Amino acid sequence: MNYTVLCFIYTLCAFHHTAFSDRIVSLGSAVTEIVVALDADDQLVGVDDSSLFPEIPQEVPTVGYYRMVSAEGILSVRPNLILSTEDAGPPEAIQKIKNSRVPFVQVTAEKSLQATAERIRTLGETLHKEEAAEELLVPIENRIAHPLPPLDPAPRVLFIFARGGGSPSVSGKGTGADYMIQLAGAQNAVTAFKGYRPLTAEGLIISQPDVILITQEGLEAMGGEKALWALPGMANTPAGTHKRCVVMETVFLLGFGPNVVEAADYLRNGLEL
Amino acid sequence: MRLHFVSKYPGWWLLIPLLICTLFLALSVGAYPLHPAKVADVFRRVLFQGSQTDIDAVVLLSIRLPRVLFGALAGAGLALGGVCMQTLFRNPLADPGLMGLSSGAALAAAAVTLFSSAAPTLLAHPLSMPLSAFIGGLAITSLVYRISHQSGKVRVDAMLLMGIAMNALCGALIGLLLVMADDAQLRNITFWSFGSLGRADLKSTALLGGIMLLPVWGIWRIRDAMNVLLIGEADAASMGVQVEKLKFCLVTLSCLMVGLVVAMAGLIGFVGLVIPHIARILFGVSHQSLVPSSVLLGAIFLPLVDIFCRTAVAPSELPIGMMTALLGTPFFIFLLLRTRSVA
Repeated sequence: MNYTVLCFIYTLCAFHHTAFSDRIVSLGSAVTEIVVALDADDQLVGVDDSSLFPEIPQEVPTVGYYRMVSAEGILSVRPNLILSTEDAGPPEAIQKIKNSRVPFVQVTAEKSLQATAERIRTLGETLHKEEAAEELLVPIENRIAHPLPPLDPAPRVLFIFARGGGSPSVSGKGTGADYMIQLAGAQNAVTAFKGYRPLTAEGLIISQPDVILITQEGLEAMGGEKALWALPGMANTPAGTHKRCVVMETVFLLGFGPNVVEAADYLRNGLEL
Repeated sequence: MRLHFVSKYPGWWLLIPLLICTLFLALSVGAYPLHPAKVADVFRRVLFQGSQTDIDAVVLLSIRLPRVLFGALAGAGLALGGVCMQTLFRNPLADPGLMGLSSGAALAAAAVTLFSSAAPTLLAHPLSMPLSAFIGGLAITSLVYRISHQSGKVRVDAMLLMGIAMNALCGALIGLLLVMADDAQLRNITFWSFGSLGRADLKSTALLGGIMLLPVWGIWRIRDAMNVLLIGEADAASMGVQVEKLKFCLVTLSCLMVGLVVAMAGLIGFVGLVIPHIARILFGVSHQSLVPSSVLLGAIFLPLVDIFCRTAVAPSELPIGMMTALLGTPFFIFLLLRTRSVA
């Protein structure tokens, strides 16, 4: 009985999408990037602050950061489909959006190949772009079936996360960067803790990285490569002596979007040099 | 006994029509375009045809209405909490934050954010955040109160110092949690501490309104004793005021009220500190008029600021916690300078 009702609701929703989903609000860059890749960006009428992609026209308003959205703000752009990752918030605003009966689809926010594949599949179905989604899925499912062999010897990679002005952090286990480093067949130089911690000179020396991984934006915020090699303790690491670093755009490296395999290959290439 | 203070300004009741206008204005303005006539129409339909489910009604009734009412209640509560503290400390700089209420709540909120992944069944519940912020705020405040309790008396100066010490301690502990937090948690804690009225729904608004009746009524009952307390504790005692009981009432009632607001809306500064001052400048220092005028001014001020927060960068939003000070300070300085030049 329950199942029938669910099916009925789902059919209604599906019908609703086919009929009207030309005004989409997308919350979270992980979702927006897929919407863009599925060539549905012309249907966007609102995105969140983290969804910065050149394909999205300037006129599309931002509705705030996806963890702190305003229900009225989102409804004010009159969407007929709202897409978001599961970590969008605050929960009270999400509940109000759900109450508004505007079709609302949430996808996982996890950072892994499997999660990326799941996001693409769900959004492909929601936007009725199954074929385009299948195309995007091919390299990802390929990589899930045949992961890159680990490098031998596996270089120790240290990801430095720098934001404008603030002190830089390094990423430990369980972070997106940690997963990407492993995906490229290398090992994270930091295994002592989970999540991000502030970078310290002694911590840098203990971790003994062979290669520094840093985002383009982070490197610029820090003041260029020269400033990177001048970090206290850097000279006493293999990476610092040989001045080895890989620079990648933040969304490319940490977005876990449709080009996640490409990102892993790019990182792999940088590590093999 | 009742003391009489002379006020050259008209009665506080003039604020009531102003409050009604503000609430209607706040209901008519927002990111979602709703003409005032449509607002009236939705209310008419709800009254005569029962619940409505079209998008206009949803925006108005389940998003904007609770937010505006919650803002009015929160503003009233924060302002009245400020009145109590300023009277208790006989210090114009006092607000409930001085007794560790805000920092205790913020500490609890940060802890919940950080540990919710460790104990998801217990801490990921939507109620866990406001509940623990409420408990955290009251716990720190009662600790401050207990420690300043000596041989049956509460020393107000000790309470002030204790409050400052506790604020510093909570600040340090929050800092410690921030170091341990990951990026997403850091964001959540920061956003919580900015304060927002956007989390309010009809249930939480009704809850706040219902519970606030008790402290507001209680404080109104002791308004004469509060007037006498302004002269000094010893003098008040000699005039028959039960000073210790009064102090206990002031702390309990104001912290219950402000703790609830902080728990539901996060940190909203400035209101508790400055609204009572504005009320004093406009309507005189007697609590006979100070209590109702602070309540009304707070209830007018916060929804007004929230209108700005909701519309300035629509469809995005500004956090109200900082806008209260940003918009209120110039007005306060203007008022202060003007009264000085008159005097």
